[in-house]
Amino acid sequence: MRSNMTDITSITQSKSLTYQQKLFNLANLAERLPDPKELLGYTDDEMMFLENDMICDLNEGYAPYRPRYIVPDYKVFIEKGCAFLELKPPKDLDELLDGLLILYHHVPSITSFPVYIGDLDHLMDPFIKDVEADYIKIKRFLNHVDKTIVDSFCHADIGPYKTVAGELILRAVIELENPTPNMSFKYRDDSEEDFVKKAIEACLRVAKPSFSNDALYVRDVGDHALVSCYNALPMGGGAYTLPRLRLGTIAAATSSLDEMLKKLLPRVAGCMLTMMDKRIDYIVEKSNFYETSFLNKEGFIKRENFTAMFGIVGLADAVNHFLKLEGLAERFGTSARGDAIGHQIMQQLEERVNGHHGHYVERTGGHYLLHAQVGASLSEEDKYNTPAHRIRVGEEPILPVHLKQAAPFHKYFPSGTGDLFAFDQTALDHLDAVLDIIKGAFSLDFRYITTYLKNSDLIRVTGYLVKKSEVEKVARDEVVLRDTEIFGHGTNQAAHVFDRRIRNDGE
Amino acid sequence: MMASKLHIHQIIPFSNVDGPGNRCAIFLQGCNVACVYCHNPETIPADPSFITKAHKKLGNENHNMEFLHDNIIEEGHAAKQPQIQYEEQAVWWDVDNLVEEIKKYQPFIRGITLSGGEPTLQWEAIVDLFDKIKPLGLNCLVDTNGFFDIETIQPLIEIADGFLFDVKTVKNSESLCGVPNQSALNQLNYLLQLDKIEEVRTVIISGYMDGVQTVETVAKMLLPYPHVPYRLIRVHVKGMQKHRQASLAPHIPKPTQMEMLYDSVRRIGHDNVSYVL
Repeated sequence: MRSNMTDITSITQSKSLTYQQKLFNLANLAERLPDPKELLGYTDDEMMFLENDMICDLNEGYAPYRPRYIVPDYKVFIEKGCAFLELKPPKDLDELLDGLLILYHHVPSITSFPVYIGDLDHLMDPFIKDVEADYIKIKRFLNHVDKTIVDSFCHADIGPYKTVAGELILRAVIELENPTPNMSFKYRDDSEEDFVKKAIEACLRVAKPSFSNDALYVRDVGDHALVSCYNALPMGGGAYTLPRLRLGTIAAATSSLDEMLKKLLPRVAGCMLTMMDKRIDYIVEKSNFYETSFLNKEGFIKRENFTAMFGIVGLADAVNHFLKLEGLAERFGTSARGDAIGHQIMQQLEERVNGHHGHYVERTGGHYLLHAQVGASLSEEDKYNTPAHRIRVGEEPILPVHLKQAAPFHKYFPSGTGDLFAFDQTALDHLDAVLDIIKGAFSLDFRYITTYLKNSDLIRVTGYLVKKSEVEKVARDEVVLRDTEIFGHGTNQAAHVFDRRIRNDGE
Repeated sequence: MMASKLHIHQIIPFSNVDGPGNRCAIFLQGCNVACVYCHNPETIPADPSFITKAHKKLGNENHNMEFLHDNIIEEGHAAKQPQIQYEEQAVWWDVDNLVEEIKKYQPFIRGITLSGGEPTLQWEAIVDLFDKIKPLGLNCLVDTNGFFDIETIQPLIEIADGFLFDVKTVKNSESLCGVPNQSALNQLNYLLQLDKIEEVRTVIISGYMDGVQTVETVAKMLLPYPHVPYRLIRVHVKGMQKHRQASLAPHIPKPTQMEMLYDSVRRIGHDNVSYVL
């Protein structure tokens, strides 16, 4: 959205922003001052859809001076060092870690912090000499990242195969319990099971790493990294821009699925595509980013490796709108008709996006990549646009049904989508069970899975359920065994960790 | 061929505590004993058709119901007919429909586990189920108290991938389980020899059973089978009705007693043992 001069003092005089945040916000404000109709050639239609919230440009500026996401190939540093920063190729782990931390300061992004800090295990493993001493260095390095790259979209990758470095990284991540960096495990069927289980343990304890279906992303994006939230982007490249369609908002302005599919959706989608063309033209032709960036000059990135992301949110809300119009008391997530509508919408968009001649995106076949976007609450409308293709919170079916409902939608999003699933504390002692679920999901072509631990009041031990709070509350004469066919479903309130694990004999 | 049916108390699509990995756990209705510490007493009442010649042979056809009354249901409780009350939840499933239900949980489960109650009471229908489930690549386990006639349930023994075996006690079954003269040691031995024991467990409770003798007897039986885990579980009363909590709480063994039993198993030479407090 456009900014204006009066926004300046609301930033400079803010009581809730730090100096750094004020600095960043002022820069963003300046970027949004120019009139996009003048500077970028936005049409009236494009402006209209921005202003009525059907398109959201995530507050990217109208005078963009750098690509949104940059994915440097840090291997270049190991091979050649960095001439601009006067760094020789590292000879040992100290020089590698120090060099990387220096480099990170110089990797821009939409947040001003790097969104990708490397396939860390691959970078570090050749330099591991003394396991315990190197562990301390790696832990210090990761903590340094957390305290200086103050942005949880900073993302590191590990896997698919076990290395000493990979194991040390997981160990450090569990011990540090830091929010940053975000992390992905590039999972393959032949990833070593003990390494995967350690990653699952980390995922449950400290919410990272998540798991990416490496085979699928390699197929769809080639050599890539997982960056920012869970975006799959070309290695040594990145993405120029990411706007998103608010499908809930668009649907709400139509009175039939037909109107949506044949009239409004193509029009709005078409505008977002041309908007992207213009933004990319500006970055490549006018901003001089590639001409002036040492990252490009020294081969950490190449302009040809950049793509752009066509994001969506609110699929659930759009579908719910049409289900209601059809007189059905069903909701997206638990409705076969709802799924059918969802797929119709996505197929339409997929055709549009793949059929559009993208600008400067040679690396991805000349077209932009669909993305299921999450996060960013920038307008009232975001209340009515559930992230990505997720089911509205509170309306999810039980886990096995949820997994099967979500899987078929993953195929539309080669640049990333992610689903979140809660597991209770018994999962920590049964990592093989979590692995079964992850493997099963990937066999259905899930692209990405994040699990988290939600301590449950209701836990199962073989043969029965124990509800901890029931101990106080048993007043009824019936033995209280609450029905739950749900394992890992987040309907339980958080409670104290069950300190006595108890089991009966299945009677 | 008649469609076989299973009397099911509850199905849990994803369970990680009923055998290795993620499994679909199916709790059957009906048990041939009534252990004082049972946490699912509502699964005890069994359809009369389950009481077969085999059970009469073993002498456990109906005695458990008296025990259920006397020890589990409170004196003067309105529900004198537990059959009706507790069976409310139980549903008859066609095996074919159950197979379709289980398929819904693929590919997230590595197998299924039949539990209950005492699943072997419905062994024939389970054989039919396993027959249809195994070709799907799913591992099939059965939770059991071992009080079955080997000859009678032979087809189940053959088709099952393994048994999760509870050794309740090695003598005086009446005091613990409400039915006299029940022993599961022959059955355990038989299954061990066939390499069909996934795991052995014993719940430890003072007074109603001889923990030391039970645990040591089992440990000796497991010596030729070092890969078979033995889990000792301390009884607990959480979630039980007040009168049961009151009568059982004094019988909860101390942690040191559990440690002692654990040590004795190891001393005998079986290292693959753990205990749960």
